[in-house]
Amino acid sequence: MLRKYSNSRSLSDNIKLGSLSAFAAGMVNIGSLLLFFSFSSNVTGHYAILAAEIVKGNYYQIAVVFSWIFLFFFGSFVSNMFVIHINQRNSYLAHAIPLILEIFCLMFVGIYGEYFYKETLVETEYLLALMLFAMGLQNGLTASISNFSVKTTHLTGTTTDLGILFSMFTKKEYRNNEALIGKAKLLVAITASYLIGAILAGFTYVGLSFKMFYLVSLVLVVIIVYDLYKLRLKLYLRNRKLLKINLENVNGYVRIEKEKSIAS
Amino acid sequence: MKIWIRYIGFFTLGISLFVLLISMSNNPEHIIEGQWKELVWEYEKVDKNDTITNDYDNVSDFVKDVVGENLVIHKAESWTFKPNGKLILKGSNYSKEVNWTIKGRGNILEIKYDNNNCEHYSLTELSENKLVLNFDTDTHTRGIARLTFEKI
Repeated sequence: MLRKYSNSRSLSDNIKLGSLSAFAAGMVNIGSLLLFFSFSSNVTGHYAILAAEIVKGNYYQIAVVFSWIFLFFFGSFVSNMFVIHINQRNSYLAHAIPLILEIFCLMFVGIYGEYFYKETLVETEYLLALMLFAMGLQNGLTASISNFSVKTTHLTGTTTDLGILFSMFTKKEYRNNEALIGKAKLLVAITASYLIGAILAGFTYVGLSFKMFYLVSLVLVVIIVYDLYKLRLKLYLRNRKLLKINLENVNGYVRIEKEKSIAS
Repeated sequence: MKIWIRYIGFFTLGISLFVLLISMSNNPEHIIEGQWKELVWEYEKVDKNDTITNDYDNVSDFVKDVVGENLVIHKAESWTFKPNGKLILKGSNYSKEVNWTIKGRGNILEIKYDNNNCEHYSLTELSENKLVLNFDTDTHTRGIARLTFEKI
């Protein structure tokens, strides 16, 4: 999910990464809406609100909404900084760091909300700011490593692309195009996962409250550990590579032939 | 100009803008503190003929009775927001203490009472002298009601 970069990624890599991260974003967005009365994974609405608050001349709200948009932008900026600067040395680490930062942010929101939150406006705004930064990190990472094909924190572009693809499928030449079918599968998987995450957050909100951010963090840990597990498994199998040696008598000489292990 | 100077300049500009806006503004939690008197209740779907058939002095009283019948604020005429998160609702022969918080970007007033029952109101307008609350009501068919206050 995380190791490969840009065009070397398979459809399966993108579907796995897109589904899990969209599920997390859906939960975070509805969680923030129910707990703080504001969205945290999409900024289109915040741009509209920013414009409305500018018109009304509400400086406080302008400052708050501006800072949220800025932090979403900054999250994406930081994410891609790690990807482009560390990718050459260790692509897995470069892709895992933004997710680790995101987990820290969401765990902080969960722990602070559960044990320290006094429901003041300033606290609400700081926690929302942290969530927008976390969503910026996630969206920046998935978009960056997938060559801009996986964006998981909002569904405007996804829904638009799905509409275009579904209209293209009215023509047979496009219906048989594997790349387009793969793209449609990816977008449907992202949309469905986001929706499932959002619905789950809605149902579990009363019982879990701020604990839902632990669940989201767990999903992100799965993304990180999945690749780490695969990397370690590969390394393990390489170390234990068994050499099968065939001995064959060829004209009085012994020919030794190595066979590749099953694992490789 | 070196690229990193441009980047530092860009982020400094963003942070400065935020600091400037915050310094020019007042926190809604501070503006709302104090005593407010109800001026008028309005409801987008009110049938003004009902105020004639029923015994009401004005449309506002009628709206308050119809729209607010299930709300904790129904009998209140003056609202006192205390800094400690307490809200005193007072009316004729009525007094109730509830909890208040402001959520979202400072646009949602949350009132909690009796074992964490919650009511939410949109803070449509909040200035030193005027407070306007909007809320969705389930009365008959769903509609939007507006409640206007002036500071005492």
